[in-house]
Amino acid sequence: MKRRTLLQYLAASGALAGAPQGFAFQALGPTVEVDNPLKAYPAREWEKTYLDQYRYDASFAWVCSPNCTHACRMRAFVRNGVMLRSEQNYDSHKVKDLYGNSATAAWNPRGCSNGFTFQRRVYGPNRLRYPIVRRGWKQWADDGFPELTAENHAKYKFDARGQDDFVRVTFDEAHTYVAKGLVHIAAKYSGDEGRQRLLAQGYGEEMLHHWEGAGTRTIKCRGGMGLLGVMGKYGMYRFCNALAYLDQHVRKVAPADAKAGRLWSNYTWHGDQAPGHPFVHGLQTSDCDLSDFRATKFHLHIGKNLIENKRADNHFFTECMERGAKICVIAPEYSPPASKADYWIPIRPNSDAALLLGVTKLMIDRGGYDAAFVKGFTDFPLLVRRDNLRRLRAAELFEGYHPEDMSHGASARLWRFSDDQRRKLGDFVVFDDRSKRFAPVTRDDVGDKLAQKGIDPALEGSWTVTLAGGQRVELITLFSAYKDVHLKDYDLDAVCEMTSAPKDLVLRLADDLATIKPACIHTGEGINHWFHATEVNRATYLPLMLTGNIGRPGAGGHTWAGNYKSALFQGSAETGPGLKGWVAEDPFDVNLDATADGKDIHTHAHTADEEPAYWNYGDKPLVVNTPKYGKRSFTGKTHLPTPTKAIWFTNVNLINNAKWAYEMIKNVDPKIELIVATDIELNASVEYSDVAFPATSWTELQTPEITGSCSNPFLQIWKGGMKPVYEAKDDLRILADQAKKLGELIGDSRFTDYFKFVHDGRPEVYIQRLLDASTTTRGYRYADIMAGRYGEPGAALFLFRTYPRVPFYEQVTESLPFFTPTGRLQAYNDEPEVIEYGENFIVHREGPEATPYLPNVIVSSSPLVRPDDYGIPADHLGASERQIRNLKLPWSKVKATRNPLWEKGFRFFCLTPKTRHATHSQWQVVDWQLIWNNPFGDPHRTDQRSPGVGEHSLSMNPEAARDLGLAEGDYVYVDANPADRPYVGWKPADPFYRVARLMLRLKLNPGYPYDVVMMKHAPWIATERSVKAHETRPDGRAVSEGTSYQAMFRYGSQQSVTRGWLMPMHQLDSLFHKAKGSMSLIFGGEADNHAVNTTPKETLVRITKAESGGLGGKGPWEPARSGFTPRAESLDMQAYLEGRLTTVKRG
Amino acid sequence: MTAGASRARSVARRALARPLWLRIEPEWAADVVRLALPNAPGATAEYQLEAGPLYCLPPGERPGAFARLDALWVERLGLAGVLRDAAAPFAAELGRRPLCVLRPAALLEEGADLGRYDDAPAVRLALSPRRMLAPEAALAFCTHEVAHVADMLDPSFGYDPHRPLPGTTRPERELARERFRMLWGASIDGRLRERGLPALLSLDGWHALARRAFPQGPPAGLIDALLRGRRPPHDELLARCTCEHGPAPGQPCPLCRFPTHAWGTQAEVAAAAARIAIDFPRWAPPQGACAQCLECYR
Repeated sequence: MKRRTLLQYLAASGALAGAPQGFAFQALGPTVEVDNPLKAYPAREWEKTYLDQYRYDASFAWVCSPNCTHACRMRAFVRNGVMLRSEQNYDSHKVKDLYGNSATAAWNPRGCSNGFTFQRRVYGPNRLRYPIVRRGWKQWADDGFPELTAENHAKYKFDARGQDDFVRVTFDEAHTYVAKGLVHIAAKYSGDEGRQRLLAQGYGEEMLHHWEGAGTRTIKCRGGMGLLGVMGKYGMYRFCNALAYLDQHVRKVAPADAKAGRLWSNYTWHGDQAPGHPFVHGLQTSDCDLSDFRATKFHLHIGKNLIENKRADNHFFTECMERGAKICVIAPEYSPPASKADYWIPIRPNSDAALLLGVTKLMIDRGGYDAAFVKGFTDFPLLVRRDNLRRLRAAELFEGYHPEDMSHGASARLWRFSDDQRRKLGDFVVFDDRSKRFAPVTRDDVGDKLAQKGIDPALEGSWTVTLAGGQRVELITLFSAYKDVHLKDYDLDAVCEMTSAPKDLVLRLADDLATIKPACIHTGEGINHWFHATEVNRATYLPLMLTGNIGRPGAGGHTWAGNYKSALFQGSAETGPGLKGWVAEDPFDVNLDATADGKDIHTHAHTADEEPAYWNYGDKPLVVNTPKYGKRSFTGKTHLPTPTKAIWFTNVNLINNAKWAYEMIKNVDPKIELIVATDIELNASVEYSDVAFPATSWTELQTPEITGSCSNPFLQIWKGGMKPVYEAKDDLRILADQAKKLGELIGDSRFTDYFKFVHDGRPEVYIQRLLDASTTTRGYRYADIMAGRYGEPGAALFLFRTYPRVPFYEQVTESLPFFTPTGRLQAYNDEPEVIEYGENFIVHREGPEATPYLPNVIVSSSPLVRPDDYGIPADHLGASERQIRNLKLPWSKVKATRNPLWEKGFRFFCLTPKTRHATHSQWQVVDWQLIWNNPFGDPHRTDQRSPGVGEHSLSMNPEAARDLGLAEGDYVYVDANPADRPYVGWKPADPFYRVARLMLRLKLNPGYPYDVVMMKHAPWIATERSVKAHETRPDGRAVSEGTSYQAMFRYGSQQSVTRGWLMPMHQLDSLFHKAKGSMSLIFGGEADNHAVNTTPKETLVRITKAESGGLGGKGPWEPARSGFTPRAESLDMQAYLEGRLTTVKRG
Repeated sequence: MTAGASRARSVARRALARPLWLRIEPEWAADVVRLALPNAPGATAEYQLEAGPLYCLPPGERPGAFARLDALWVERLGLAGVLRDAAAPFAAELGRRPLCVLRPAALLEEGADLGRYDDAPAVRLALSPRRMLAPEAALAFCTHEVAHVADMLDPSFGYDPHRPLPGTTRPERELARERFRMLWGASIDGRLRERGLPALLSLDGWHALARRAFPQGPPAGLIDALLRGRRPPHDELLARCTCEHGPAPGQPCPLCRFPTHAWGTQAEVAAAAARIAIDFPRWAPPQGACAQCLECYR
């Protein structure tokens, strides 16, 4: 240790301090001689330098297309080939559709600081510059892929990817390595031998259900939010479908039997979907255009933050105030949207369903509903059997029931509703108040159609009837079942106890929802990230269903979390396969005619969807050994995963954003034999991959890309306007070249043909086919759009029925069925699994972990809720058991129970919302964003404990901090259930534990309730290399040696406290709903549609002090002594807060 | 040449006649003179009288002229004497190394160190100009700091700037650094006191620092020995700075090595001791364990 080092607490050295071994006293330079200042000044030459900053040689439009849902068209300015800056293109008012319609000019301007700082990502230090291969993996390949014994596992560092280093290779070498790896894995895990291997490796029989003998089914491909770039990102799924050739090569099977890889989802895995939506209306998700806010009169905002997380278009929300709409915000914390609200209802996290059920009860009891809408469009009038809790089917009641011909009805005509589907679902029964008789209704009998039949269904009533088979059963309308039975558990007093919400505000909310039209409810990942999000989502629809606030401008229940809507390129019988024509063109019937209409493309998906949440759960489904029934799978067959042996993902920070990431790195990924990442930056996923390809960014694209959004009507095509930086290539080029290399390796030129128009330099052929084949774009010509025929080169409007887009407009205005079994908005689900889980009615359930009460308990005393507990004792603490245990208790008993974890001191709900300064993990380490993204941003890194020029922080209530002896700026540990976090089997002696345990800075914020802490999600996690760097580099930066990876934590990450959960309600085979990409209806699982959503908020944490916040860990953090921070306010600050600084003289 | 310029050059020549082994950074001298002048009756007017003509010099010559004038005034105000007095007791160790005084980049960077000036070895003293307003305290500080350099130059001390701090983690190393600062400083003050030279802190002051650096108590008798003038060599001092992993707030847990303020209770540690010992055979219950580690061995 040098004396200088000793003297410094911190090496914030100035010029003199920086030269300990040599210094010279500097003399001042000569000043300018000026004889006559008036003659010489003003010298304006210096201004030229300033003005020249904005000089540019050229500009080009590009689309900023992260997963923020906005897809803003920006304009970049280039000088000497370098992109200097970007600004809004300000073109929304010009863009038209095929028929000359335009969207509102109020969309202008679009874009946010992400787009403005994009050049710092393009040229940033974290850029992935060239293809790389992990040294150990390369050696394994070079050695001929020897068997991965325990010894070889260690030798090739499959169990220590984070400690290995990378070798720079050419693209050709990288493609060759990947091709060899895929061929090896496909062969190794095919056939009987493959089966024995997989079973020997510990995979259960369930994991082989969709394996079907093909090793290719162990290859998982994920195009990161494919809609963000339909060619390059969704193109990954096209590549995956081409693996059918590989399977044919390996197993010598006929084309029809060839199996390709599995397609990993995005939307659901991000936890962005509102999983309850398909239960209520059958659609993947309901989202209107954000400009529809202008039509609303009551905006209910639940657990959402449109202010911070919809930056480009959040003005539509704030304009609600100007336009006279009333705003109510429900959230645990006093959030940015709460500050805009007429009233804010603070709520205990994870109790929203209870609040909404209470509001529903108040509305029903006070008659605050639209009876005509309820009768016409909801399932409230349908009859339910009290014996088996199923809806009464017409065939059960009416002897010799002859189903009405529905072949000309909307279901069959528009949605290909098949006879087989109808047989499974049956028709339903209402009590007709007009005829005083029971009447059958089909799923087409909605709205006016029901009236045309002369049926006026009773909303209330119960009957005892004899069924056609002679059985006596009791019947009740769903409305009566809710009103007279189910909602008795959710009276105002109980609900306010459950939720901590103030009574007067709950009453006010019920009044507003009942009386103001149009009213809308906006939710988001805030409530979707809980285990029982399904129930909350369903509950949000109850007030809307009662009041007819669906399918009308300014109404509806929407979410906008994630740009998921592949249905923007929806297929139909009239137009062709839509997106499927691109991602699932039949590899054995490829159309090589560049002039072919997209409608004529033949499709065959040899792939199968898979939800990566199973990988994220230890690469297994939810199979539990129950005391009552023995081993039982709670993962429906349509959802079952296969073993994961290879992953290739693009444009997704898969490992960084994996809940329970350190469990993945430590215990799951070592079993995976090839991990390939394509990205523009060297992020944590690349740090833990085997091969990585550098991709071009949106401004560098050499081939056209196309996108759309769930929140606006803009159809956008663009190319970059600058040369690729370093060796980056377009995603699509990388995919096509990889396919070609695979073909070369196994001697199959079909791989090349499958991407023929990419190789021919005409990828726009595929875009034209997509436009041809989709209901929303048919009629558009690629060349016309690029020529600006629709107002702005590259832009047009999707062909929506309305601008703004209003979901279910057709259903309500034209009396068309919703996408549910009943054709109605459903407040009730009678799928056998749902009844078994006790969620046939919409209920409030405590979370399996994030609750002070008995985990996973159903709050109900209703005899119409009859869950199965599978014999699992109430005090069982196993995570799997807690997930499936269905216990029902009334609130009076629930409130006397205690969660053992809570009792152990894990007493903080941990909210993990999006930050305003990044889009998930993108932009997180851009220096400017990192500086202003947190209270600890410091470009000088005065405190060298900071991992970078900023770091992640945890927000906490000041009183809670005081009680824990914590001060603002302290470093704290955030620990979750030690049974399995940060990873299963952690031990203090394991060096990896040092990487995985979360430590971060504390920020006090009185806006958070006592039991709630908050840290923004998706910062770049600490990795083995970053921790090593932080602990050994003289400057303490957490920048990995060799990769330049920059962590935002000293230790651990947000994912240290999360874990994988597999909600039984997300894994049904029986749920009937709309297919996401076509005008058709399906049962069971579909990726991003009905599949497991991840739920990162389902955790309780314990906070303990690590280090003091002052420099060098001594004393308090200096800004906390400024007098302007919570709990340390100066007298002046107190006076300001109390309004004493200003006095108003009256009179 | 104007009369004013001639007078200025005369002033500069007088400044150059001063001893060369004290080198003062012009900015430091300027700051010190401007701070000290108001405390010396009549000095400000005299200074201005001498400074005024310097503005008549060609611009390129002015900085040097002001530097020389300020150096002269550092002498006149008696402040250079403070510096010489501080260095004088260590003339043998310093040899021909000039004492170079300059402003610290920040207050925390005050102190003496080895350096180079004109490509020759020198002693570098970063000193806040404001400190010179209290000459006695400044003398004590400078003496103490120069004594550090004298130790560094003394072969029997065995100073090695590349010797690493004990500890495997940043917090451990930071704690060790604080301890080393304290122990070395106490040793120097002890020796200064033995020689009748001004000491930096009182004995109570050093004991207070020792309690802060060693919350569980400093090594028995060490502080007293140091304050009596004992001087262990560099490596021995460092060895006394090792973290003992005792259950004190902010100290690293002996198991996970994370600093902790949440130690397990004795009963909790005892209950888990046998299981901990399997993974950590050299661990003993008195070392304690943090609450989070105990979760693993519960």
